[in-house]
Amino acid sequence: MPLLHRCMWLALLGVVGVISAEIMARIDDAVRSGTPLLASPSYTDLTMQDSLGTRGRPFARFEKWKLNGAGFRGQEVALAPEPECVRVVVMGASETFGYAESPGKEYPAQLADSLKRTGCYEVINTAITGLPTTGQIQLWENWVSRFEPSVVVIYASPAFYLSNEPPEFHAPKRGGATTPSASFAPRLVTRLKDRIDYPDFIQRRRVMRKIASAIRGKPVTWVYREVPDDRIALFRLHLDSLVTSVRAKGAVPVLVTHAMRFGASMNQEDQDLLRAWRQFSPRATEAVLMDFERRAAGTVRDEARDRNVPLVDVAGVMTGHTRWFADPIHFNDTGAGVIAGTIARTVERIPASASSVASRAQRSGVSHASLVNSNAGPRSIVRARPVKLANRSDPR
Amino acid sequence: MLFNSFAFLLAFLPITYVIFWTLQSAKSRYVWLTITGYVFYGYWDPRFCLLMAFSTAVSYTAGLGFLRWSDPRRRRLLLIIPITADLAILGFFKYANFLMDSFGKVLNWGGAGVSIPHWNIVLPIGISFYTFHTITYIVDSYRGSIKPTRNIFEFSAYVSLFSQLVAGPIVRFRQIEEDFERLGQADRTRWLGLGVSFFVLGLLEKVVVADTLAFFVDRELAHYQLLSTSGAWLSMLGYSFQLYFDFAGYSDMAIGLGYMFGIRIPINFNSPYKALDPSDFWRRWHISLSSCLRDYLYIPLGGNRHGEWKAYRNLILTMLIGGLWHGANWTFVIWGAYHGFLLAAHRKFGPVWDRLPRVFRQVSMFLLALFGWVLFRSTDFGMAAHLFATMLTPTRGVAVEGLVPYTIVLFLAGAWAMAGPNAQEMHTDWTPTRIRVVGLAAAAGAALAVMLGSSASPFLYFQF
Repeated sequence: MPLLHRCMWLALLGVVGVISAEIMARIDDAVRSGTPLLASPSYTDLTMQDSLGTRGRPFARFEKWKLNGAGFRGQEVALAPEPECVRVVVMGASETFGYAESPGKEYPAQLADSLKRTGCYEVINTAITGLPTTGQIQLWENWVSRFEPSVVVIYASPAFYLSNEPPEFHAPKRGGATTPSASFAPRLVTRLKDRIDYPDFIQRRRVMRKIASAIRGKPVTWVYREVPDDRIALFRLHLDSLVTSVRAKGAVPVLVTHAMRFGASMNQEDQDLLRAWRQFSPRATEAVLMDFERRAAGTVRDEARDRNVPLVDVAGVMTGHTRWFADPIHFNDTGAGVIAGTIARTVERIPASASSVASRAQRSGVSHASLVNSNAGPRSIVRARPVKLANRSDPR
Repeated sequence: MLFNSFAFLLAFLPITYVIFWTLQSAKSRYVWLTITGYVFYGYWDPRFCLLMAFSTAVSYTAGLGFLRWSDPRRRRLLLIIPITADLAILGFFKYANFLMDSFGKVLNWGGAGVSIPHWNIVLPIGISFYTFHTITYIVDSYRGSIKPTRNIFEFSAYVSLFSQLVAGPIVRFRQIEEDFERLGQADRTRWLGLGVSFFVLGLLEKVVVADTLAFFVDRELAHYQLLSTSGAWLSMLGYSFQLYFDFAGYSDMAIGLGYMFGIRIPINFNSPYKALDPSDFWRRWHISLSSCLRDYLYIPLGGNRHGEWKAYRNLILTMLIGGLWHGANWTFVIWGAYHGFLLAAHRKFGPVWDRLPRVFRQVSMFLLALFGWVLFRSTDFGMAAHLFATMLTPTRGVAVEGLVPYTIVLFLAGAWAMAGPNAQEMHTDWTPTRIRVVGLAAAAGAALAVMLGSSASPFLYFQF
């Protein structure tokens, strides 16, 4: 066979192989996760904006992630809780949503398994990837509170507060929900990208280039060389607002300190991961990223103490234990089990009377102030200002 | 290392292949196959290469002894000592905890209240397979069925041949002796197309069919207590086809790899779900194992030479040991005994059975095999009993997730396994026509797409 014919023949075989691979990737997605054959879904399709704000797209599915009709991860849930059962809502971002764990191993799912052993508990994972505390407040007020939880576990991610602009309240979208991306994206390319594991030295160069590109042209003062106190204060303010709002709806908030994989000593892998993490917050140096996490954990502890909120000090238990993390902040299956067990021990201790009093208060329309008063003491009343804060920051 | 991993496909196989065919002499090719076999095996845990080296050295030395001595007493010793050594290693790594646990349970039934320690023993992958390779070599040398090789490299290449090292087929030395002897004159292009075709088909069976079924089956059986009757049936049907395509896929890949290196490895599966009776089933399922059990266990036990009842006993005993070979668990032992009883029953009532309609016999044999797989898949008798009870009595349970796609995959897999051609039949008079080559490119593309989407899943028979 002449060389030209041979090359053409090989090219044809290559084309056949690629087309077949693309078709098979689509069939495989349809079979394993129910993704429509002709759709081109992405991770961002799991969320949407509508008149209620940012929330999970009902029945959305992408790869291992599946949302129910309410846009939450997990089984379908009724609006009203089961009688005689304690409904626990877990709010947070990707760490809570379950980014790296196997399906069913995200910590809210493992929390449900732990709590089921001790009584009738119903756990709902309402986390939304990439949603800072401002978004959590809107999500709670506009959507999650309708599910009448008795206990709300709050795992707030501090790193959002190191973005170029601090987290803000966004106006709900008018005129219907955003639609999923419709442009064609080859699934084979997505699979290849997910699969490619660059050698460390190449990965380091890519990360450095991205960070350098992000800070290019910015004044020297743009980069945080120490923890910005105003951002910590804002984090506290938003957290406080969420706590108040949760109490206002008659639920018991539970605050959880944010854990990370980096402890006192770090090996080369940790250092690479820390630098890679900085891609998402290039304004902060690696040292500031870590200090900010530590300060934020302290802030959560202070908030819990000042507002008399049950505290789960996950940062104290897990920070520095690299084997429990898949990356800087996301848990692996084992780590998710550890945090679930730690939270379960606190939730179990919340007296049923507290949660039921809260729920009863909500259903019977007891005033916000008296409820806060009964749960958290006089200091809480002084600090309760959720609506004010929301209105002040709302672009509307 | 797994055949369905990118490390194997993109690095190990191309490097092994190119260097193998660059080398010219048989000896250098033996050495290269030995080296690559140990790399392949050591990729999982290098420490266990020593075990394989020890087993190789013992059997090779025994072979030299058979060449040197014709005195029956010495030959008998050369038979017993190395086999005992091989079985002792296998017994320690595979059965020590099982025997201790069972012994402890027996004692505690009697109220002894004894605490038996559980040793932290890691089962070396593929030990059951290469132990079988060395034992068959020793027995065949003793019987005079083969002339033991004096070439240590030839023998070590046979034991550590990566294509059949960790999950079979159990290739006897005499079956590939001829190709091994001529390895220096092997023609690279002669069987290349056939080898690639077998390999790609095996990859398709494993990655696309078996792993897709496993996705559903593993998820459902993880909560087997909650399954409904239909859910239990669907799960076990899926497992039956998953197991077949998983192991047949591996065997086809091994055969394909053999062809690529100029070694013809015999067929290991011949559409077992087309079997019409238990004897037929075992002539089609894991052929290399069942023929070994027949030649090295059933016949030495007396076979059918001493009357009907002893033949039944020998059948049951052979299958019971065959079951134990699969794993250190009583469920495997009972699974083996179950098949022994089926073989004995068929021996007794074969003439009556053979008069029944063909479709009835095929479906019935499939269902009998499926009931056996319940024992085979169960981690303990509690799980097996629960699955049997759920399958045989109407039970409500949770709905099967993804029922429609699962049923479609199950139907397609079942149609291929029970009515379609197997790899051997597809390769009869195989020539690389353009349509076939295009089909292979499409199959390879499909398998790679699935591999890209998930981590390489181990083959079910690796655990044995």
